[in-house]
Amino acid sequence: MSITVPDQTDQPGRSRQWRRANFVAGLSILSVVVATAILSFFWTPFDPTRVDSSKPLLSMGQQGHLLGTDQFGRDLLSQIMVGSQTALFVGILAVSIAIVIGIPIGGFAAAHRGLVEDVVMRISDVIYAFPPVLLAILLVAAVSPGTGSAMIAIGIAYIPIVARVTRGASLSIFERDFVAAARSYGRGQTFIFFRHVLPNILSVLIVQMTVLFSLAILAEAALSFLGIGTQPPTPSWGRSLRDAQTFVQLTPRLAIWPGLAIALTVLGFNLLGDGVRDALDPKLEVDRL
Amino acid sequence: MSAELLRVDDLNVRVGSTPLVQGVSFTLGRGERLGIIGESGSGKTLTALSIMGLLPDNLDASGSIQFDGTELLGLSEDDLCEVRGNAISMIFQEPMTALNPVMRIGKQIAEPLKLHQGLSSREAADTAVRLLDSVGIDRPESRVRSFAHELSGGQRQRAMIAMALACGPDLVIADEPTTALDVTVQAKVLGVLKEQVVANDAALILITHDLPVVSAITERVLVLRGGTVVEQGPTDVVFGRPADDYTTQLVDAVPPMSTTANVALKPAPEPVVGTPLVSVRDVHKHYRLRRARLREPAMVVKALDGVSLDIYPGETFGVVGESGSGKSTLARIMVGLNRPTSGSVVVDGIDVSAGSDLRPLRDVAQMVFQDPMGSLDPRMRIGDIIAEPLRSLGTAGDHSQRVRTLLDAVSMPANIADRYPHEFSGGQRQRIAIARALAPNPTLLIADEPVSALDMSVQTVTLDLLKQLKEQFELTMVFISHDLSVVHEICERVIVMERGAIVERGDVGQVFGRPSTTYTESLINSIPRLDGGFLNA
Repeated sequence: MSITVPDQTDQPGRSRQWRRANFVAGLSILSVVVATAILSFFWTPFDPTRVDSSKPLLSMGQQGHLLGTDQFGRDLLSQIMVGSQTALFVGILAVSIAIVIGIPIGGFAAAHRGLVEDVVMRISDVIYAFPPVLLAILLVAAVSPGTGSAMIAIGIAYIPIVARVTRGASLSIFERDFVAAARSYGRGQTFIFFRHVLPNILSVLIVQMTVLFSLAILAEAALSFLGIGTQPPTPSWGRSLRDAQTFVQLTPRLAIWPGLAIALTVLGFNLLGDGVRDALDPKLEVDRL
Repeated sequence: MSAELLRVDDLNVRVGSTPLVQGVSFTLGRGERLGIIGESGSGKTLTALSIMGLLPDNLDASGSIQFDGTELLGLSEDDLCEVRGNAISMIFQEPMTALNPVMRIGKQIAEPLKLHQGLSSREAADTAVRLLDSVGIDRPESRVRSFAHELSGGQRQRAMIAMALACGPDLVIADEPTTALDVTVQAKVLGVLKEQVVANDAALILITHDLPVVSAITERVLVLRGGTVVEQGPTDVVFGRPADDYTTQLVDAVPPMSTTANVALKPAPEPVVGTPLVSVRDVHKHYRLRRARLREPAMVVKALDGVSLDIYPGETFGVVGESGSGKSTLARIMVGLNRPTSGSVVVDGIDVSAGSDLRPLRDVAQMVFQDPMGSLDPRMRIGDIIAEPLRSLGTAGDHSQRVRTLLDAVSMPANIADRYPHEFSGGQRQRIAIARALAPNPTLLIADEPVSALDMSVQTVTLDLLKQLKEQFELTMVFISHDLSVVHEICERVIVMERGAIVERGDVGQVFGRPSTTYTESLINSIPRLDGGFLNA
């Protein structure tokens, strides 16, 4: 229809203000997480790995332990603080692995239709069909358990996801006339993908990245929970959850606080993703000024 | 035209505090046919949607819309559902998206019948067949079992008309019902629409930007501009003696071929001399479709089927044909975007047919695309868009001077280089696209439907610009269009294409004035004309 209703996102309406509020909320949450991670490099209330059999399962506030201690007498707050390092580290590196390899693969598949595309996408389907946890177990068996292996396994598991999203979003952009125009003045497919297509699918990818980021943090927690991720004594949120298992009936607090840390960080990334997508859209620039 | 059916009084539509429609008032009698014309952004579609109560949620309508004594504005959604599809029905521009792709046509036509008239499934199905028959779809008994994608564009729009008329509505609103169709199909569909509306005693509101279409169908016309009514009255009076300057402009923008029944014979152009710049010999382009079933052989579509032509330096060469005739494929082969399956194409001594190096072609042949919304990278600034071909071709140095010169050549201010495409109107974007095409200083400019997506008055300006640039940059131009009147205006020689082959060629005056094939003749007779004569062609 030749209807000329302005794009919904162009309006300073309620939905837009909501989205801005999301962005601010996401940014605030993540700032706290990042600040905590940085702070924990220099200072924590107690040594997070120090076992003190004289004070197991202290409740909140006792003897200066704000969140209490676990069954080994380790300070819970300090563990969560240091655990944020592991979470961010795994999240950033796993997602980086996935996008650095996945985006070019997806773009390559979209740029070369036909047999090449089929082969590339079927290979990625095979990897996709592998549960990440199984992949991690294989990798851990081959190398050694630890944060690094977990991170690489998660990264590899997410490559096909990124490749698929990139390919799907790129296909429609490759059909657009400005791509034909670029070809008509001599640009090659690789250049076209990085210069013309990628910027136009960035918003989709960023949303995907933030989702993967939170999934990676969850996956690391899951792997550590299973005991094949981060190894003791390095604190990790998943690790803390695993340790809390035995006493969860007695002191649910041991599971609640690390769980809350995971949930908040994941929420922060998701909220931020929405906001960043808006910020990258040049159509909204006028509005922002 | 006895009783009053619809009275719109001081209709205002706004988004936030921005008015989109302001103080629109008109009345419509029973059985009356009213045209609403205006360019994009004039508020014509919003006016129609207000009547249907289909405005998007973020828009507010105020004023009064009385339909058959009932106030429609402010009516509850449930009550509106009673009116919609029953007393008022609507025909949309793009039947492919307006029809449900996974529902058989017959079922879709039957749906409003069952809903509003309480017919049984069987009765509704029978009625659907009868309705399809009445809008001129052959073999309606089998067609009711088709899906939308199995019908042609014209058939889909006929089916839409059948659906709109199913419940015997008092008012039919048609929003650009034929804009997406080829001219020959348009003429037939408009004929059916008019005939059916008259036969059903329904009133019609026809919304379009196309003046000849309005004049052929309606008795009264309303001219909208920027959300306000600038003129209204009997169609022949408004178009014959426009009182308002804007209406005059619109009427003047109608190409000469559309104003009279007789094509003014263009004088024959100077005979072509020298060696051809473009030489196409027996070119075929076949596309292999994905096979539908494993055992069946893959279908082959012959987009081009033995095309040969020569284009000489300095001329404007027209290519006309309906959709699917292969004209865009021909264009894309000439700029090296596609390779022909067989045959030879030589552009300025460069062979573009075989697996040759296309690099040298890039600063010889450039293309302007149809849709300026899609042909400019939305994430790039204007300056970068225009400089891109220069960078691509490895021209060294600072391109800002060249960008400024090019912007000036297409009459755009130089200070827009830092802005993004979405900040410009369709006509402005097309200028930017033209500037980009001119950047490598090509000798051959191929324009594929360069004005089809633009408003009528913008078309005229853009055509004038192309003419002027052709002189200024000493270009040879290939002008591709489905619109014969535009080709007539700008081209010297022309070919007419049908299903991948050239059916007629020659000087524009000769081909359009004395067409030698019935296909060309039907194309010419189908051009909407202000006198409305084309409907009977």
